[in-house]
Amino acid sequence: MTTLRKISLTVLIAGLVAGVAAFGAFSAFSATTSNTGNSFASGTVAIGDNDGGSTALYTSANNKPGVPVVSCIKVTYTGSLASEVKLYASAGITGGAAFNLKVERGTQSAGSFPACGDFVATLTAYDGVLGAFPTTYGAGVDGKDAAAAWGTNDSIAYRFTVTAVDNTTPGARTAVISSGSHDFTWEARNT
Amino acid sequence: MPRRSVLVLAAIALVVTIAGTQTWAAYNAATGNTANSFASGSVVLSDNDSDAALLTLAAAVPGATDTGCITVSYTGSLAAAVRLYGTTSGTGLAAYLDLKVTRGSFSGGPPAFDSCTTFAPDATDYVGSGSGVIYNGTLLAYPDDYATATADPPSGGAESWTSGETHVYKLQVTLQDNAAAKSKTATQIFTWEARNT
Repeated sequence: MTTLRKISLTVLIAGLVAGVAAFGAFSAFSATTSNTGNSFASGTVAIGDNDGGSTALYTSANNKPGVPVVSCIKVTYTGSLASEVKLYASAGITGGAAFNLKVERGTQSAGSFPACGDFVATLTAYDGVLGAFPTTYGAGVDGKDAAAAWGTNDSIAYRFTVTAVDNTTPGARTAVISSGSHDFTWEARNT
Repeated sequence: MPRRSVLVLAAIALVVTIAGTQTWAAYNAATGNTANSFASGSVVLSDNDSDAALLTLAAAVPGATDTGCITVSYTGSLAAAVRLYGTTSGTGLAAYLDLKVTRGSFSGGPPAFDSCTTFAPDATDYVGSGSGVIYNGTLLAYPDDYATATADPPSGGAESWTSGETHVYKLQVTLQDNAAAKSKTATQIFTWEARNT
């Protein structure tokens, strides 16, 4: 078959198909029904705190045993999905054995960050040396007592109490020990 | 064409793997509090003796005496209170050695350890034994530990030592005229201990 004849056949078949379709459009009644307004939206996971964005809970120098530094922060969940929240610190804390950190959960309605106002503790979330505070979500401290789920607008206040660990060994504190700058993160993950 | 089929299968497997990873992902959000820091203060007390003895009496006779001065310096960042005490050993001579400790300063440039040239006692009569005297008794009765130690100074409220503060202590030891002191020895370590207040 020559090239010319092959092209001619193709044109003929295409014309036939078009003819059938045109014929069908005039050959039957039709009716449709529809279901409208369907939608699908993902939920949200959002969490915030009252520290104003960049103010530390504590920046304290020249501390001595028996004089705790106490600060409070309030964390609020605004996501639509139920979530589990964990608290953890950034890695790289130095001299962590020289400081004790106690974190208590509770309620607070008065007092602006970092004051504790009318904070009332429920349970102690962590009480140990700063250097042993978890640094990952997986190992993190439960945001709520018994790791309960957070719902929209749930709020928990946390009281941080930091003290220098006592050491009466002569010469034990002839040098200043600093924790270095470190961050605390509350991370919410939907359940 | 066999090669084309294999390629298609590989492409499908890759898609499934990616989908599987996405199935396990979850939403998450975090809020943080940054730039926290906490530092302890320091307590540092030192002296100028270079580990040499302050007082020495060898083959002493009644009335023999030795005097030495030592400068004690505080360089800690925390305010501290200082106490004086010591550790006594030997064969019993401490009961026959009189010790007088006087607190003061050098009026001029500091002399070499353990000279007391230019030593000037504090004006205050702390214990009724003269200007600057903070202890006047036997070496045996000198306090042995921090709990029973002599405060610095022992009356009028303890000094709050701050960084850069120094005081000079003049120690004088004298052998009593007592036959019972014969052929005995005493060795003493004098300690100044600072604790933050």
